[in-house]
Amino acid sequence: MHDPEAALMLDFAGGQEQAFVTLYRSYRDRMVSYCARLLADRAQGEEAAQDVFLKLYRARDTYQVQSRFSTFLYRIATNHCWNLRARLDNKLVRRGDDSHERSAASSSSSPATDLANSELRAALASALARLPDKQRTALVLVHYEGLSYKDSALVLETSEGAIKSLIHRARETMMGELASFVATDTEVQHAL
Amino acid sequence: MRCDELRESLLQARYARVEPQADALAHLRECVACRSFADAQTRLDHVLAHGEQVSAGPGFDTRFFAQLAEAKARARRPLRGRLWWTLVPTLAAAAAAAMILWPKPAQDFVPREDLALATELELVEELPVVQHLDEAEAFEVLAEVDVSELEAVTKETPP
Repeated sequence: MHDPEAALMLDFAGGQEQAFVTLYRSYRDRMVSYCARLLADRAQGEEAAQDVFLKLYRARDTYQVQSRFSTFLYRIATNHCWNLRARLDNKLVRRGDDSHERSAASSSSSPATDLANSELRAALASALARLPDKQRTALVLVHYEGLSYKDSALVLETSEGAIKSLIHRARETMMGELASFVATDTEVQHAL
Repeated sequence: MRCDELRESLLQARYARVEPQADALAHLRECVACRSFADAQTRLDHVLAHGEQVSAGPGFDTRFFAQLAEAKARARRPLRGRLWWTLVPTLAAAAAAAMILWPKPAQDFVPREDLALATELELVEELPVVQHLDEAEAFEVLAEVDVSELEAVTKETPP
C-alpha cells in the first residue's frame, strides 16, 4: 500500500517539521468541517480540530503505518470529538437542560447565508446533531468526507457490515426528521 | 434480489459512485416500492447537500501555531523547572488552607478569672501588712535563727 501521506508522517517522525506543515495544510479545512459536524458547532469544531493537530504532532514518536494516514487522523478526530461530546452531555445532564441541542441548531446557520436556505440548514444540523454518535459519525465519514465503507470501518474500529447498517439507519432517521424537506421534488424546490 | 438487498446495494453503489448492477436495475423496473425508495434517497441527497461546508476561520493558523510553539516550549522545559511550577500553586493552596483552618489564638490573652485575681492582688498591695512584708519576712528569718548560733557568729566577727 503506497500512501504518500503516511510517508510524510514518517518523514515528520524522522525530524522533518515541514512534512507536518504539509499534512496540516492538506487536512486543516477537512478536520474543521468534520469536527464541526460531529460536535454540531462551528466554534467547538475549530477548537477540536486544533487539538487534533496537536495530538497528531505528539503522535510522531509512536506513529506506525498500519492503515492509510487519513484513517489514522480521522480516528484521532473521532475519539476526540466523542470525548468532548460526552463531557458536554454530562454537563448538560447535570444542569438538566437541552441548550446544547438548541445551540447546535442555531449556531450552524450563518447570518451571511441565504435566508431561503437557513431554515433547511438549521433543520439539517439539528437532525444530524440528534443522531446517535456512531450513526452520525458513519454518515459524516461516508457522505460528507467521502470515505469508503472499508476506511470508515477502520476509523470506527468496526466491520464494513456494521457501517452499512449504521448508514442505513442514519439515512432512515434523517429521512423522518427532514420529511417536510424530502417530501417531493416540488416541495424541496419550494423549501429552497 | 430481495427488496432489502436491493436497497442496501443502492446505497452502497451511491457511495461507491458506481452504477447499480444489472439485476438491481431489473428489480427497480419491476418494484414500485423500491423505485419510490430510490427516489426518496435521491431527494434526501439533495437535502443533505445543503449541509454547511465549514472551513477554518480567520486566525486559525495563527492560533494553532502559537499553541504548538507553547506545547514545544513546555516539552523543552527541564523537569525540575516544570516540577517547580507545579509545586508553586500547590504550596500556595496549602498555605492558604493552613491560614484558614489553623486555630486562631484567643483574643483575651489573660483569662477572666486570672484578671479578677490580679485586680484583687493589686488591692491587697494596699494593705499595711503587705506593705511591710519585707520586714515581716526578715522577722521570720530571725525567728528561725538559733540564738547560740547567732552568738557564735558575733564572737568570730572581728571588732
